[in-house]
Amino acid sequence: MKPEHKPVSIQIIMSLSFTAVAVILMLFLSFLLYSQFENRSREISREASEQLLSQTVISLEDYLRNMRRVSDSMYYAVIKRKDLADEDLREEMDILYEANKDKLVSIACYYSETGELAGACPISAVKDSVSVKDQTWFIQAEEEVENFHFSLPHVQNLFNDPSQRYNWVISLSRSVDLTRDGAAMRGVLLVDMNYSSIVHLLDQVNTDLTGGYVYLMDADGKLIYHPRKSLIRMGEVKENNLLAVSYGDQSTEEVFEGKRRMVAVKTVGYTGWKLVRVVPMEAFRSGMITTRYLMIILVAVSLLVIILTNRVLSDRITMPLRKLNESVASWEAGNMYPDIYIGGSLEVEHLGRTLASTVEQSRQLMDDIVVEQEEKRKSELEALQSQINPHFLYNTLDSILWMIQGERYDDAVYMIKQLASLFRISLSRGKTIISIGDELKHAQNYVNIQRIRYKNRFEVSFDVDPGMYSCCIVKLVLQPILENAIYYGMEYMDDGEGRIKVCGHREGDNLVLEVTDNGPGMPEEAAARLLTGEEREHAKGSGVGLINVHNRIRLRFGDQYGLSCVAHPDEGMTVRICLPGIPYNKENCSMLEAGRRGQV
Amino acid sequence: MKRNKYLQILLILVIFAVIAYSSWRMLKISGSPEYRSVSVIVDNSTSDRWIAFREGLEQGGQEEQINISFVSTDVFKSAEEEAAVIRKELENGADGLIVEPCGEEESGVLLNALPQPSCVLAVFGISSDPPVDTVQPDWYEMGAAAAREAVTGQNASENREPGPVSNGPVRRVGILTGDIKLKDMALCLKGAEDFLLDSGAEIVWTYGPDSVPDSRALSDKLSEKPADVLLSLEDAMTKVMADYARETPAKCPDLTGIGCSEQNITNIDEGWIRALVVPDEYYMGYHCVISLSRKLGTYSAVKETEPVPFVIVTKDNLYDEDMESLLFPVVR
Repeated sequence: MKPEHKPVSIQIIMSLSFTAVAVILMLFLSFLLYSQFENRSREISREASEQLLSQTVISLEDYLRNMRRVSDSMYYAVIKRKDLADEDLREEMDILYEANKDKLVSIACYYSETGELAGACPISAVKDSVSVKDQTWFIQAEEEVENFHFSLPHVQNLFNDPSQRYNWVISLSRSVDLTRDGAAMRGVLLVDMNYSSIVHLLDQVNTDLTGGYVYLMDADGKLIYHPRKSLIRMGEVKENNLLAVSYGDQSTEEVFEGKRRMVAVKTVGYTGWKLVRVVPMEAFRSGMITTRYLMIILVAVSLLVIILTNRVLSDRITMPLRKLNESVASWEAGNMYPDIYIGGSLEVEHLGRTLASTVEQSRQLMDDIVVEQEEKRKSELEALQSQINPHFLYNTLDSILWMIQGERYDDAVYMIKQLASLFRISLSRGKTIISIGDELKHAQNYVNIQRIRYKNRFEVSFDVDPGMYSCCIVKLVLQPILENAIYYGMEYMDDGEGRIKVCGHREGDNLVLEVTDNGPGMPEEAAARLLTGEEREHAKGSGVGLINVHNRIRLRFGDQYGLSCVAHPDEGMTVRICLPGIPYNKENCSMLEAGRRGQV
Repeated sequence: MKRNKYLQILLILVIFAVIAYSSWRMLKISGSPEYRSVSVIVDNSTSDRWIAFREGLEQGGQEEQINISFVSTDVFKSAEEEAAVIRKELENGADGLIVEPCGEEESGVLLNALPQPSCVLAVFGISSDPPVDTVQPDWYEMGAAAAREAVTGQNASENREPGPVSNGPVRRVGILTGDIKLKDMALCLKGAEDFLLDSGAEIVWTYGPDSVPDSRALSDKLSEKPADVLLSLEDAMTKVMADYARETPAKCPDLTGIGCSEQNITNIDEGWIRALVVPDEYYMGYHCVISLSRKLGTYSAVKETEPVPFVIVTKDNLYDEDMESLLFPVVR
């Protein structure tokens, strides 16, 4: 069984439709906005990384430049000008060391050939067991004499430090020309930079709590500084430095150890060192979580506002419709005088007005139907009464009696025949619609009886188009008119002077029957009143007025049909019957009997 | 109609719930990260032997968002004294503790004072299996490695094969220990003795006084029973041994020891000690924090033991790249 579909109110439909459209639009816009924001944030993060690297590299280069200047000063201003056989380097070295001791650990100069110390500061007590010629910085300086060489960070292992300190240094070495006893010879100038200066500088950069960090490596990818260098040594964490060294000075996204991260690289001038900034995408994403929640809140708040606004708007928009609906419901419930709401938008107001008009028309129609039915009932009753008018019957029977008593048997038989025919047609098996032929016959029966009763004081002639005989007419239409004509027209006529003429002809689609008498007639005003119901004095006659005939015709055939009276004072009167030309057959009769004249 | 009204109210309630949840999450995220505080209690905190350990702790704290408070302490005279410090730190709101037990603790005073779910022991000396997580070296292995280095002069690798060492003559070995009533020291001694017996070396004496002696006491011991090799199983005794070598270089036997202080590194550098077995205290400190962080996060009662690796340092490998990083974690 198909489930019953329960209709939803227009307000809910409207509210849901608005909300759905708004939500879809909002989600789409939010997604778009979030994507844009994410891309922009990533771009900003990339730019920030590159900026941070640039600034750090500048500081680093500045520091390294200073160290090279120290080396240059020592070489060009001191070593080149001295013969080491006569002079030592101690004093100048001390000055340079003191000026830069926060960045330096030591300055030393060695003879290349022997590895013997030419001069050193601040400590010059060389460890017996150490051979400088085996140390990397020395070998590099000897191999490439034109260049400065920066070593990897290491613990200085040259001098016997009475304070038993072990200093982490980065050795800046270069090949230098020495003079001893006037002879030129090669040497190596070593400036041991304080590694802690670089560590301090980079530690300050590594304060990012979101997981991003900066590390420094040499041109071969060996780590110089890393905030988790000890953990890398322990194998607790790994770094992608060997691959990162191949990256250019740009930002790259890579996947390392299953994690996506953004890597920005910047090369430090002269040394070939590379400063690398690593930002895990996870950290970046976690930064976006706040934005994501903010977007959710904005969407939720907007949704709330939309729902409430939609609720109010749809309520206001649909209010006239709902009121109208309530009016209809009240009407449906049987209230014939509902309070129809007329208001709201143009369309709804129009609907209201139309409904109000419809209700009014309906009510009028109902009233009309009631009146009509009442009229019909009354007229039918009156028609029935006319069929059995006791005076007429009494008078006729009385006339027949006299005829029999007067031994006028043929007249009596004639009279009885006429009366029988009259009653047969009057009854018509209960039909209301009969043919004009029958109606004329009925009229003829009637006037024949009346003429005998009135001893032929008047003449009645019939001149009806025979083509009309087979058309429909409401029964007993002519008889009351003839009765009126006889009672009001022929009563005062001398014997043989009275004339009643019944004519019938077609006028277009309509049929016209006219009953004309030459009686005293009546004033036009009185004739006009005959059909309004105001002239209901029945001094004589069957008591069935013209109005009754008029109404019966209109009830059956429509308001455009019926009677009309033309009165000529002292000259007589004509009653004109207008009928539609409806052929008399079974179907038409049934329709007209059922009151469905429109379908005929 | 009524149903639609209820649905609307439900929808609005759901939206309010979403707003409330998102706001709460946003506030939680935007707030500063929650740092927990952990107190570290060791014997004589100013000693330079804790430098690497402390560095490891700080690195671990940085990784795990833990504030490390290295409590200033003097030399503890008793377990009660250390237990009092532990209680004070707990009163001060420490979320966790990393404790190095000061010595034998038979009464249980120290262990009873420890908050078991949030405590990790950095063990250098304890008499029994503690009920809390420990981070310590494999003392038996370390003792054996030191003994092997002492009698063979070869690096004792982790893959060494047991049994007598074939090269070199059998030598007389004098062993200096800490308090052998402590479980770790006993294990260390056992490892050394087992190796020495297997290698055929003779243990002429084992010396483990209650307090750290001076070099004269050692001199007396050697005068009593000379030894070719001195093997120290404790940092302080290794210093004493090196002091003796400085004072009487001519008479001094070959020295091998266990230790991690900067003084003993200098002793290696200067040649007074031939080999030094050094536990990776940086690793130890780091793993103490990691282990404690796991406990603070999960409150797991599962005991976890992180074996701390060790290296054998000689004058030849002292300045190797990896060795430098391990021995000198602090950049001055």
